[in-house]
Amino acid sequence: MKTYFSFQIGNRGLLKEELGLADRVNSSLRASAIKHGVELKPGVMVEKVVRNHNGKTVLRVSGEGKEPVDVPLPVA
Amino acid sequence: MTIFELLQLMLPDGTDAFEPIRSADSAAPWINQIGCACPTWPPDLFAVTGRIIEESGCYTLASPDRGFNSSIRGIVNDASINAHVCFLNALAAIVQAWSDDPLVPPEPVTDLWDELVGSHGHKCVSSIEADPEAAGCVLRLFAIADEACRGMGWGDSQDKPLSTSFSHMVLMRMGGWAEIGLHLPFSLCSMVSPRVAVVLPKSITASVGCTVRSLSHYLALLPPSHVVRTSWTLPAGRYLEEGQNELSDPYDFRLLLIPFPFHVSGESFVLNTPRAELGKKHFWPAYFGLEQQWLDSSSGPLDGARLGKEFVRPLIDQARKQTGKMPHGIVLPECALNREIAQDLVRELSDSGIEFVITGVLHEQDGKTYNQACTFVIDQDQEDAAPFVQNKHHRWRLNRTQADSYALDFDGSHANDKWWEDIDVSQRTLPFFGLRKEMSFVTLICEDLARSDPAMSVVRAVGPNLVVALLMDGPQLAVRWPGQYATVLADDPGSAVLTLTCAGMVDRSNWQQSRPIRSIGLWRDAVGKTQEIGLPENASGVVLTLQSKQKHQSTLDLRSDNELSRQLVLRTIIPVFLDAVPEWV
Repeated sequence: MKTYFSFQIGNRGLLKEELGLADRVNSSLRASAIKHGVELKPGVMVEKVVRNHNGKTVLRVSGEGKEPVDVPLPVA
Repeated sequence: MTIFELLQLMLPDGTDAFEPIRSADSAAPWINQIGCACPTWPPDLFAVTGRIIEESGCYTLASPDRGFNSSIRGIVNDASINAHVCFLNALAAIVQAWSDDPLVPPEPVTDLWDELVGSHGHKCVSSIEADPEAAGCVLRLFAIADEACRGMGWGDSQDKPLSTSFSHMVLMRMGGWAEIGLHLPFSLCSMVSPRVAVVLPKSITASVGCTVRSLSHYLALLPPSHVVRTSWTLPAGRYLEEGQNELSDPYDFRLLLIPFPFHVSGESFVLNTPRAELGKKHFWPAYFGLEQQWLDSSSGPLDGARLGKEFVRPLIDQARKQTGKMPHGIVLPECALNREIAQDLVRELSDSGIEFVITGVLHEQDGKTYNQACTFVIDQDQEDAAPFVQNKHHRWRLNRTQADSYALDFDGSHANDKWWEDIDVSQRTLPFFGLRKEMSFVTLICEDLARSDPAMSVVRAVGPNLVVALLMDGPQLAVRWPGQYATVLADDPGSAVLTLTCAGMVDRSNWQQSRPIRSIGLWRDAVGKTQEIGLPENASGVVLTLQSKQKHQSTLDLRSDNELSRQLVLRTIIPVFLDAVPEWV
């Protein structure tokens, strides 16, 4: 039996047409931080094009310098 | 318990979900003087206010005041209507402000929260229904939290976004951004633990009755995860081809139903434990087991690759020829396969274009037998897909009348007249899936459709567009039990229900009928359509074409969803025939 893997939730990736929403989130967070005099940790929401362990290119986002996380599947 | 005690119980680690993305030296300016600041993450606010509303029963006060008295009978009270329009406009403005400035709840929200904690925090939750001021405060906060989560759990268009920035954050979380701690895929909350309450996306708002379920459009409040473990999965779906702007038929949905097995021998039912006397007329019940003899052929045990190559792939090809389009999903009945065959079948179909497979399986593990539903979401670019697995929640109790109708006689004791299904029913899970355009579904296994239990309450709260019930049952007739229970879910919350059984059990049951009806499935939807799904002689499957249509919904407090909801309707039923059916089928 091969090793199971999955692209659900944490591994979902984003559709090309969804990447613009990352910019929207980033912009609104930063504008909100400036308005309230709060500093955000650097590198929130950096777009990444990564190659998963099966060799497929997926579009994902993460914090700068961090790897996108894989959320475990619900336990059977 | 007072409101304040409930808040402390549900928010033991504070209320600021954005703390992880603020620099350490950035003080949180929104901490109030009362010691319990307003939750910054709307699903957390939804969870705590929803719990107060549910436990106090104050949802009974949610309908707007019509200003009615007998002297104005038959006359529209313009003042009441104008007041409600003002309320809706103010609500929209608050939600827009919060979405644009997401780190800090806007002042109207913090004012309401401070009123809840400061003026009503000392009050018993049980007294809120009799306290219009407190009830009004918590109901307004609940409505704001719900509206702030518009579109949560789903994708969105970057050109014409319909969802709020909080919903976009959840989508980014699904794409790998882990800066905010969310309890996905089990709950949308951040600071409220799933051990206390669970919040999931919602598809349909119950349009009848008066419950907390009728009070929200976008989020569902569910019991703690130890009651029933729920989850929400939104697969990425198909990437668009180069030059393609959108899917050609985003709201069509084609299901290939395969009522396998087509033959069930009487020897597949075996007596595992005979009845034993405990005392006078008091018995340890008998248990029956199921041996999947249909998975053996004259040339040896069936495997998933062979099932795929020799039977399912030809069926897919025929389905495409006969309908002109590719089916999106495949459904097989309860106990049709085992886990290994199901996994191998999905592997074989990985490049077929099928997006998902739902099948019932019988699974042996650690000496126990599990009757399970496996849902596989297939990505063509990956070789494998892990199943979402759920155990059947209730054992089938087979009685003498049923056994006789299926011509089963596996117990030598003719004094006994009932047998329990010998399966483990622990570890209740209930995975929900969002597929394609705003279409969600959940799977139930046989008895689970009929029993009133916490899982059924969860189904009603989430309101999936489609409930798929996998059965090992007789003909699916509107007058039989699946039809009756499907009607219940079609009424509240308004889900479409599809039942599917195997042809083998339908045929066994029909032996007693002078006018047999070979109905392997039943469709029931919220607009009142009930359709038996027949399997013509020599057909090996059936393709259903479903269409999801816009639906306008309103909450108890008269908030519109602006037709963001969808409802499924059945368009066509097309039987699928194979030129040559494998001998082992």
